[in-house]
Amino acid sequence: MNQKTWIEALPELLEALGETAWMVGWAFLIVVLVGTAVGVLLRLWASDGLTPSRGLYAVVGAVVNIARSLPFLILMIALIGFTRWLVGTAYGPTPAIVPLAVGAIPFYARVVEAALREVAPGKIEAAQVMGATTWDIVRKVLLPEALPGLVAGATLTLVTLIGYSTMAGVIGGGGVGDFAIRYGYQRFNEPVLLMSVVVLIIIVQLVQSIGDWLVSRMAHRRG
Amino acid sequence: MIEVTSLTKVYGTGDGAVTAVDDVSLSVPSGQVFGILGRSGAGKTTLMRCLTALERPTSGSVTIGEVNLTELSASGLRKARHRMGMIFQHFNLLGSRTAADNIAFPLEVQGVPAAERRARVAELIELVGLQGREHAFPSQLSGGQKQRVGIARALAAHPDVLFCDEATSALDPATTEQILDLLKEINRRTGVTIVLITHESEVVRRICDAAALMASGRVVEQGPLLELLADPDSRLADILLPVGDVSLDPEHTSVVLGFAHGGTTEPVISGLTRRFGLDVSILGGAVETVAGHKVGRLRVALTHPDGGYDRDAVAAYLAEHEVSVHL
Repeated sequence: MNQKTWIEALPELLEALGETAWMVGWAFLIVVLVGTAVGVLLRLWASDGLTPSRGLYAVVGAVVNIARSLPFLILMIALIGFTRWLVGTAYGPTPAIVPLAVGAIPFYARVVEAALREVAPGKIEAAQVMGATTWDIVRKVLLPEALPGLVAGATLTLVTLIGYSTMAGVIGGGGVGDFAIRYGYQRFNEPVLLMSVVVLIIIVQLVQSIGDWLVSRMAHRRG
Repeated sequence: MIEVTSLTKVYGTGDGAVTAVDDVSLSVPSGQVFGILGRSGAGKTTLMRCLTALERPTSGSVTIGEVNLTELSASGLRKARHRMGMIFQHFNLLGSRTAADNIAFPLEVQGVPAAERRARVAELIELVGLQGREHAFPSQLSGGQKQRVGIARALAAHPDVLFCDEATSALDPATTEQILDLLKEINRRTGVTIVLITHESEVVRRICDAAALMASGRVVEQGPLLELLADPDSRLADILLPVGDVSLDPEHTSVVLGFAHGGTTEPVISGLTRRFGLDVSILGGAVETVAGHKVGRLRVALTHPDGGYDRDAVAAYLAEHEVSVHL
C-alpha cells in the first residue's frame, strides 16, 4: 500500500482541524449560552434558591440527569433523526454541532448550578435589601461572583467537547476524529495517526492552560 | 419612625416549632441610634431579618415611616428597600467589584445615571475616609476598610434607615471604635436612623440613644439609654454598667444608686453620712460617659450604727439630687 508521509498528510490534517474547530466552536458557544441559562434556572428553582419551584426543578433536573447518563456515542446516534430534521442532513461537521451541544449542555448546566451555589448567601441578601430584582441579582451578583468557577467549568467543557468531537468522526462528522480513523484505523498509517494524537494533545493542553490562566488572574484580583 | 407591633416569628410546625421572636413591640424614633442587645440565640437576628423583610413574620407588623412592610407586594417591597441601607458582620461585599463599584451597586439597581453615580460615589468615599482605595478590590482591603465600603454602599441611595447586623463583631477593638464613631458621626450629620443589633455591650454604651434588651425571643426592656441607666433595677443597665452582684453583700443591706444627670455622687454620698448618720460602703460601681452624659451606677451598703434609718427621707434626699434608688 502506498502510505502518505506525515508531511503529505499535513494539509488534510489542517483541514480536519478546521472542521473540528468549526463544530467544537459553535457547540461550545451554544453550550455556554444555553447551559448558563439552564444552570441559572436550576439555581433559582432549587429549594434554597431565590424563586424556589419544586416541580420545575425536579422536571428540568431529571431531563439533565437523563441526558448526562447517556454515553455520548449513543446520544449521537439517538439524535440522528433530530439532527436531520434540524439541519437537513446528519453527516458532516455542521450536523455534528447538534449532538455535541445537546451532550454538553446538561453537563455545563450542572457546573453552572454548582458554581452559583458557592456564592455566599449573605451577598445575595445584601443585594435583596438594596432592592435588587432577581434579574439584577443574577446579572450583577450571581454570575460575576461565580465567574472563576464558570470559566474553570467552561474550560473543562471545552476539553470534553474536543474529545466528543472525535467521536463524531465515527459517524461521518469529519474533523480530527475522522482523520484519525481514516489513517490510523483503516490504513494503519501509524506516523500520521501519531501526528494527529500529538496535535490533539497540544490543543487540549493549550485550552487548559488558557483556562487556568484566566481563572488564576481573576482569583488573584479577588483573593 | 419605625414601629414594630406584636411581631412573632415561628419556625417549623407542631412539636418542632421554634419561636425565634415572641410578641415583640418596639418603637424607634427618627434620627436615633437604636441598639438591640442580646446574646446569640436571643432572636435579634431573626428580628432584624423581619425588619428588612428578608423574613416574613408569622404575625404582627413592621412599619417604617408610613409603609407597612408586611402588607407590601414584591415590587412595593423593592421600592421600600430603596429607602433602607444595611451593613453586615461579614461585610457581604462583591469580590468581583472594586470598592467604588461596590458602593455604586444600590445606585445601579435604582437606575441612577452613570455620571450621577460617579459623583455620589466620590462623595461617599470621602465621607467614610477611603480616599485612594476606591479602585481596590475587597480582598485587598482590611476588615475596617471593608466595613467602610459597606457603610458607604449602605448610605449610597440616601436611606432613611441604616440597619447594622453585628457590624463590628468581626473587627478588632481599635477598629470597632473607629467604625462606631463613624456611624455616630454619620447619624449626626445626615440624621439617618440607625438600628443595630449586637451582642457587645460596648457598642450600645458608645453610640446608642436608646436600646432594647432581648432574651429568649422577647424584648425584656427598652427605652432611652439614659433613663435605663439611671434605673437601679434595669437589667440592661446592669449589663452596660455592672455593679457586682449581691453575693458581695451577705447582709442584704445594699442598694443600687443610678445617676445620669452630670452630677457626681461624691457630695451625695458624704451628704448621706452627714445628714443621716449613715455608713456608706461602696461595693461596686461603674461610671462612664454615655451619649455625652456622665452616668454611673454604684452598689452601696447603707447601714446606721443604731440599726434602722428613715428610708423615705433618704429616698427624698437622693431624688432631690437626681440619684435614683429603690430602698
